[in-house]
Amino acid sequence: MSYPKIQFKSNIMEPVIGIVKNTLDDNDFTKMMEWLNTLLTISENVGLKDEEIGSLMQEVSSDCISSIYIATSGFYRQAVIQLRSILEVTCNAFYYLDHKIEYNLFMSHNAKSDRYVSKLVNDHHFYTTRYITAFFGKIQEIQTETDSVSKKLTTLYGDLSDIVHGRSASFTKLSQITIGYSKEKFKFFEVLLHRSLSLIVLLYALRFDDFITDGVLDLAKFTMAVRV
Amino acid sequence: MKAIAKSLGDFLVDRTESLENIKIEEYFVQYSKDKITRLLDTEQYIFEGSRGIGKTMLMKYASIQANKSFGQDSILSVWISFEESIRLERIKVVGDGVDPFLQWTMGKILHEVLKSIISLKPRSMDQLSGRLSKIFCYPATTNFEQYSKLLSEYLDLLEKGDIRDSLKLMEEAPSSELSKILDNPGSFKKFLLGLVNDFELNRIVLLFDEAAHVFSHIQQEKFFTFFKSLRDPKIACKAAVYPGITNYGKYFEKGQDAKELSIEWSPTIKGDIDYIKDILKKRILTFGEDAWRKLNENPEIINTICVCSNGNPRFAFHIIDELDSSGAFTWNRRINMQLVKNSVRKVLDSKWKEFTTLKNRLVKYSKYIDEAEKLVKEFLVKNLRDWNSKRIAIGKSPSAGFYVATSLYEKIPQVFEVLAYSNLIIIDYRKKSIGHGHYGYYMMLNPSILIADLILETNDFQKVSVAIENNQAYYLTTNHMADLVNMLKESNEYNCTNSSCNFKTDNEDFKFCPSCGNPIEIPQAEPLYKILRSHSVESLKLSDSIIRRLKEKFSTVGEIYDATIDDIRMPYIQDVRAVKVKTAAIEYMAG
Repeated sequence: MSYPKIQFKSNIMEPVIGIVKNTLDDNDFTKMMEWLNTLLTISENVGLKDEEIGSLMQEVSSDCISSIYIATSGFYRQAVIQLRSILEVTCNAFYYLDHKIEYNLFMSHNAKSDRYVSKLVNDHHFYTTRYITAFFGKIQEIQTETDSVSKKLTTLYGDLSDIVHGRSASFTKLSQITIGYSKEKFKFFEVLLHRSLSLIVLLYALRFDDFITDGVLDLAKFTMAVRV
Repeated sequence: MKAIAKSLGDFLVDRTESLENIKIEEYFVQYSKDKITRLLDTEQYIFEGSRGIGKTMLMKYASIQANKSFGQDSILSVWISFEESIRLERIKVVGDGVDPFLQWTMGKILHEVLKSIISLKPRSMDQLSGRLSKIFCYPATTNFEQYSKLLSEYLDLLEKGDIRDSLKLMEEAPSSELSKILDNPGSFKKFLLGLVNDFELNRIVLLFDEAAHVFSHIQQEKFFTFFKSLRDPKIACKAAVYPGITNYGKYFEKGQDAKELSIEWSPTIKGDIDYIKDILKKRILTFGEDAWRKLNENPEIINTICVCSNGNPRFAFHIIDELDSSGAFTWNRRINMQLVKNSVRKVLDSKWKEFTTLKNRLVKYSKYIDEAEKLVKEFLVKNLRDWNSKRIAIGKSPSAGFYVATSLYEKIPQVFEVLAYSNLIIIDYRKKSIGHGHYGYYMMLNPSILIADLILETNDFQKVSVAIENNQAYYLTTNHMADLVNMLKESNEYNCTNSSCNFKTDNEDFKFCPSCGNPIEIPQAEPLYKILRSHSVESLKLSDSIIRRLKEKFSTVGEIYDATIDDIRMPYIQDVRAVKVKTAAIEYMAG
């Protein structure tokens, strides 16, 4: 092996393997794997309803797996970047599900990929009460407040963006580069993962009126945007 | 149709084995967190405690807690009960045939370990594994469920005991590979360690319940030799035993090969009494607040029940059950002390009857059982009553027990041990100086005896002293004790198998005759399994109406033990009662 390869193996791969081992030894992965399984299930279900949007959801699934793996390896900020990306792609997927012309422009004519979550909510009323009413008439009975879902989306997106852009008070401020296992940061990631996947699952549950699929109800409840 | 109302008895189920996990968690009262930590740590332990004191409850609770945090800690905790071992005496060990006891013990352990691993698997795991396997184009992991099914069938085969001998057993085993793993403690341990590796477990904790008690003498020796061999940083074994009557064999040293952990209780310690109170409160409040309120109207009532329990919740349940049967909870007036004492006496009577029937099970101890009962009823109780009445009259501390000089104990340990096994006395095994160069053990009578026989009142227990100057002591020279020792002197004789040789000895260490060199005849005790099987159906703890009907079809305990639930079914004895009958037979054989 060449020196650079040996260097990469000894100085990057092996420490990361150590971090993964510490993370596995020190944490319970049961819940995370259950949430991941629910995400994979709903992605498959979306694919059955709409093949094109299903492929976007496959990307979401893949990004979620990598986010969990990255966090387990000690790269917490990068894992959160993935979470923000997952949220963006999912919101776009559900937006395009009902906006086929915009989707066509996006895919065929290389339209700008600027449908950030906040833009979707502010400019297109994405998952506001009146938006949801179009496909889920009972929303007013179960929402915890008007526009609860879109508000939760905006708040979460804001929190994730703060971390990504280095505005978070304690999460990513580094006086020097150290990459190592931190239970506190891993737990923090787990909380953000839970929030993100819960909202994603809620978008699906409302869009397709499916609270029965295994794991969906628990995650939907966790958002506290709806009473189910 | 109106649902049948539950009775108080439904909430005082006295065998933990009958409780579901959710009920165990609901009823469990934390008293010593340290014991739960030790039950799950890396050490080997002998876990001692008298019958009904809560060993099974503690073990099962520890196991439930460990499995709840399995996702975090990767400690696999497995509770294993050995109730069915007695059937194995039926299968003769022949030549190079596998030892059925070893096969069954290890098979049972492995089966429970696999069941545990499978039960801890999250519901969605197979589905997720399949998906991830496709995503990463990587094969999915092994499935242990098929293996568990195979073992389960093999264990059924061993437990039914319809195999003539161990050679036939080898033919019937589902695979020779399995027989080999299960025959040799070394290969069995290697297999367990393989499981630890495959699942990347922190360790496996094996909690052996009813260890030794239900085994024959020879099986006990084999079990503890096997127990010792399992020692490993990744395998921790704990065995629950009854003190005093366990045979560890020549190769196992308590204290050296396993640490000792015991459950102790004293009616003189307020915390211990409150512990029993908390247990009763949880159970009775589940039934209804009124019953609990009635028991607490007079604090002396509930305190008396707790003191009389002697640390044995099962005994307290029986007292309350007896109170319930006498209508105490349905009357409009308060429960009085006389009623409580009468209930204690009735339950104590049943306990003495149970003690006598121990002769059926602990055959080696049968003559000691007779003398032990007489010793307590005709000598110790009378002496203690006289002693206390004199001392209380002059304002001195009363006594709840007595000292037995070590020299006396060593002559007739079986008398005291069989009483301790039945929770009729509590022995403090720490040697104490009793003056004049002698040492002795302090033994306390069961508080229910002290209260029922008016030796002490409930409040007196706080004033009791264990100091030698405040207690009687019995020596080899004490008249009654000297007579007892002489009566119980072992008189076994071993003869030479050569009919022309007159050599006899009472020393069981002789294997060959020193005169002619022929083997010494060793009398073979009849296997316990055979003895218990031959007992009449009437020996079972069932109502008269059930016994009467059972006798139309079955004459012995063994016939019921071998029968399936369908075989037992008959008019009046359907699903619930048939299960009750079968359970009674299993419990009778297991003791």
